Amino acid sequence: MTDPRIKQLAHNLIHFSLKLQKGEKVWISASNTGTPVLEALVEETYGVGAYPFIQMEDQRVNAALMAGMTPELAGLMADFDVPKMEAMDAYIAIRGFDNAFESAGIPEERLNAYNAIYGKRVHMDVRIDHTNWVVLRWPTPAMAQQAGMSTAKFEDFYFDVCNLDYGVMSRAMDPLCDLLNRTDRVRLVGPGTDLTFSIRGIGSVKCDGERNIPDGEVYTAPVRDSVNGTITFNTPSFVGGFRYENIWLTFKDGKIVDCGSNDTDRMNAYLDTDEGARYVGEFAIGVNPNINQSMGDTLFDEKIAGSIHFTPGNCYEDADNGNHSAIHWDLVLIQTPEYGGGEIYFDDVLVRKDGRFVLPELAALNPENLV
Amino acid sequence: MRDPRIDALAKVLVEHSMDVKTGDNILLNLRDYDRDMACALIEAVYHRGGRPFVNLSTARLTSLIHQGMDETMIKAMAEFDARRMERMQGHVSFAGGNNALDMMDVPQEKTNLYRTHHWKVMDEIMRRNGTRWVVVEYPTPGAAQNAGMSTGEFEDFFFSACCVDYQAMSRGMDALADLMERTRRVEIKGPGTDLSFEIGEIPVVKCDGIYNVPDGEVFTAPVRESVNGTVAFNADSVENGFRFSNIRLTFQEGKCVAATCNDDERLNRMLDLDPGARYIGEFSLGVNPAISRPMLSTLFDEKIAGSFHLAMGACYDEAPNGNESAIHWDLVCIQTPEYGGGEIYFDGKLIRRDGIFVEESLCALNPQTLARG
Repeated sequence: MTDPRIKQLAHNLIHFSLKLQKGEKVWISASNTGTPVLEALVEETYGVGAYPFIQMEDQRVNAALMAGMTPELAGLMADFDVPKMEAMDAYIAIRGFDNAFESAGIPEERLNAYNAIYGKRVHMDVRIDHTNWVVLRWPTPAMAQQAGMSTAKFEDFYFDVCNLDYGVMSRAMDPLCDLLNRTDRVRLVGPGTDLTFSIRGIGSVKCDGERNIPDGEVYTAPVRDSVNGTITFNTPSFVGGFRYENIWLTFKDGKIVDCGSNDTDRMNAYLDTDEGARYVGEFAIGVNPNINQSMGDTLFDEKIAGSIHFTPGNCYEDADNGNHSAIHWDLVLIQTPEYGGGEIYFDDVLVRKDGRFVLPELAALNPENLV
Repeated sequence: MRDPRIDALAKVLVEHSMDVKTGDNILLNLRDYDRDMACALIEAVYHRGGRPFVNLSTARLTSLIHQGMDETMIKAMAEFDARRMERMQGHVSFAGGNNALDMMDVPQEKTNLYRTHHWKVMDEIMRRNGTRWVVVEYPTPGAAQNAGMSTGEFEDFFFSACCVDYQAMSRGMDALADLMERTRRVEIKGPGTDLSFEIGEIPVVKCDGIYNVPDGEVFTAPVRESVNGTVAFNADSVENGFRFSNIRLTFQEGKCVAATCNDDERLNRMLDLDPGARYIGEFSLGVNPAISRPMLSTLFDEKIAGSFHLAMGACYDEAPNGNESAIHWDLVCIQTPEYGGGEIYFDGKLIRRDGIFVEESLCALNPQTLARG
């Protein structure tokens, strides 16, 4: 009695996102998803003659583990999982949650130890650059509640955005990539925001359903030391069970020299994880036509049509600005009129105003042309 | 709202069975897992200064994976799992699933491949490193259904059987083990039963909550060719999906020469599987005070207080009598008054009557004493 949309999603993940081949190994990690989607993925994987390796997780079990986490334990876990990840060709992570605050109360240093050791060695150092990976959410009542929607409506939204025709979006992204590749100076302007940086020579990457589901962004990275000015974000961000709001960052020559939020001390501690945490590793433009408001979750919010995100921490290898960190903190600014508007300039030319692309060659990326 | 009995069980497993010490790495394998149980175990391991490693799975998913796997995949799994197992000091494993029959969809050749390339590899590592292990039969709705009980009733039964005072039981077992080691000849009498055999020099093993939970038996094996007479088992036994009732076996010089039950033909087919299947590989006395009737699951039934069991087929390495077979089929006879009573004699001396030890030194093992704690 599996929802046909689950089988469709599993099919898209294995065939479109990962393009899994016979004999390949895929690590499938799932938390709080229930088993039907895992069963569908195992069947699709075997269907192409590939090998599924399942890791089931549960938020509360994870929270119990994190409560006693030490650098030694994280290191041992990494010792076991690094060679396993190295043997993989592909990786799928599906994350649901029953309570967004399940890790609230766990000391920050325990979570940071896990991220800095296990997260870095297994995911940052191996998975990100050496496997074909895709990461997605799983619709749960808690996620629906966080998004302010009924569970049924949220499930409809979820499968709409996940099972979108990413082929059309992918083609529409090509001119934006070309333009980014030719651009030197970027300026972001809006309420509380006036920020400049260079993206010269970094290159751009389309996110068209191969790595994230839902998807819809084009990213690059600022030249590491070129960022100057202030940016004020208008979507909340959850880290380690804490909901950050009203985040702003001020940069001088690439480094975050001042910042604020609803908990500035906690935020500064997070940005002090390591040296790279105070520099930015990613700049991206969101274009998913079916996501128009914050869902309280990075994987949805960073794809919002008319948004940008700017990310303290680690860069990606395919848009490498040389910044390395154990964190990669996507912070989202929505520039549609409902969220206060704003402009993006590339080399002094207005490219997007109030969330809509104004250059003719980019019009195909405006929402009405993608649905 | 975690059931406090879950914490009590976690304490038994971590502090008694595993005896976790500071710095021990403990692998927790939970199938059709109960998240409360997982959390309780993690907390109990941390409490002892150990490091928990968790594996969650469901029988249905495991069955699906096993149906499609081949040698390449199993060897890859074994390689990943071996690396971790090498570093473990203990391994807690939960058996049982929501539906005991989920694994039936896995073709035999896949199961054999898995045994050869995965199970045996882990087993070898655990033996070589002296890794402690314990298997727990978890009270799922499926297990309750097998026992013909509601899930709530079954949980009550389960926790009381699992959380007996194993330290007290273990001490009580010392006297019985000691007596069995000194005993040559065993006679068992009861309705339809008049059986005798030698246990000679064969070692005696206490099962006191270290390897199985629930636990409670002391076993040895009969000298292979010494068994004579007839035994009538009064607990049903489910094997390959068939429920055997009223099994009655007659032995001559160790060999089962006559066998009847509710399906004689099926029974004889089982016993004709190989030559060792008609000989006995284990003799054991059950002492768990919280188990007083059959649950149709061997892991519970063989521990029933006042019962004994004989296993047709292979003996255990710890109490070897030289009998080898592909089967090890535990058959249980309960000797409490409700089940018709009976007596056990060691070297001609009555030691247990109607399920109650009468020998002074063994009284600590009687249900009333053990249940009092």
